[in-house]
Amino acid sequence: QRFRFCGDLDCPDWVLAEIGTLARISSVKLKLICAQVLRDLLGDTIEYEKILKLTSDAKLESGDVKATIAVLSFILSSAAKHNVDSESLSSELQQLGLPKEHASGLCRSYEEKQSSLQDSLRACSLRLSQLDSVCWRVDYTLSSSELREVNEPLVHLTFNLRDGESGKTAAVPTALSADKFRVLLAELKQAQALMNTLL
Amino acid sequence: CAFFTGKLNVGVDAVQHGVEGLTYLLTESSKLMISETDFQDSIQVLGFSDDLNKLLVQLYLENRKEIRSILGELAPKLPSYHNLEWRLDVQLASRSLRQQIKPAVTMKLHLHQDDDQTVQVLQTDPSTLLHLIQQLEQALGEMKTNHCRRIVRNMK
Repeated sequence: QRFRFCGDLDCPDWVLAEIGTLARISSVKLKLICAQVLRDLLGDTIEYEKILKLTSDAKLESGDVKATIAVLSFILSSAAKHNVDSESLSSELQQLGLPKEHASGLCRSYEEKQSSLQDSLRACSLRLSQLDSVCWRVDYTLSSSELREVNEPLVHLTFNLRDGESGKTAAVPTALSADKFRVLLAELKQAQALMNTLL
Repeated sequence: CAFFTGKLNVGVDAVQHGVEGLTYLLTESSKLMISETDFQDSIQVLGFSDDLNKLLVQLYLENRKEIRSILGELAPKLPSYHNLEWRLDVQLASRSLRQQIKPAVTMKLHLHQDDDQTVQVLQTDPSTLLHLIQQLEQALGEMKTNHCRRIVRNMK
């Protein structure tokens, strides 16, 4: 059977198996554990001791606690990835066997954080490199070893690129004459106009 | 080593040789996966007491599996798959040509090799990607042929 929150594919076997573990926790505590898992997905640190305290009533072993966190992470991030609204998510989770109060608690937490989750997922999408900043300087060349009176302006541009993988910045310096710089500016303005038509 | 030297009242060298000898005995026996009787026959030659022989056999049988799994990890390895990130883009215009529609899939393949992590960036158009998927599915399909099934059955 196809599920929207799994990207219109079958639900993975391990998720099906852990739905039973989720049902053992009370629905109120499940909503609080969801809040912790959402914090982890949004880049904050997860408070593992709080989760251990919340699961102690259900007498879960340490392996079950980790499985709970893993399955909640999967459900929430996969639903955000495929842009599933919270009602559809709730009905699909109930089809998998999750009790109604548990599903509605989980989906309420999901609905609150859905757009911030999607924003953070968009930010960590594959990106090869990024332009950090541009520095420029305009010089005026008076003379050189080839010609006594040059009298021409010169633009120095330094592009600071940030590598997506390591986060290190690399500087790419270039020097352009006034004409070349005008061509560059004109072409970039055309590209910007094209980008604006798409926004 | 110093701890055992005091306890056993022998030189440091003797303790070290003893440990090395024991290690060699256990790793070679585990590597070759010799049976209990073969192991017993081999150590009979050393002339130890019966109790010591029994102890050595017990030690070998208890730790054989773990030693074999550790030895298995020592074999040389090629870089293995760790993660694949991908992105689907459409090129709409370039400096030389406007009004284009050119889809491309950009992938970043993360590989692991014994603590070394390498990254490969690849880019392809959708038809090449479909061909790639088809080839990989054919490779997986080979496992279902009679030839492979016969070999797998014999290995179990």
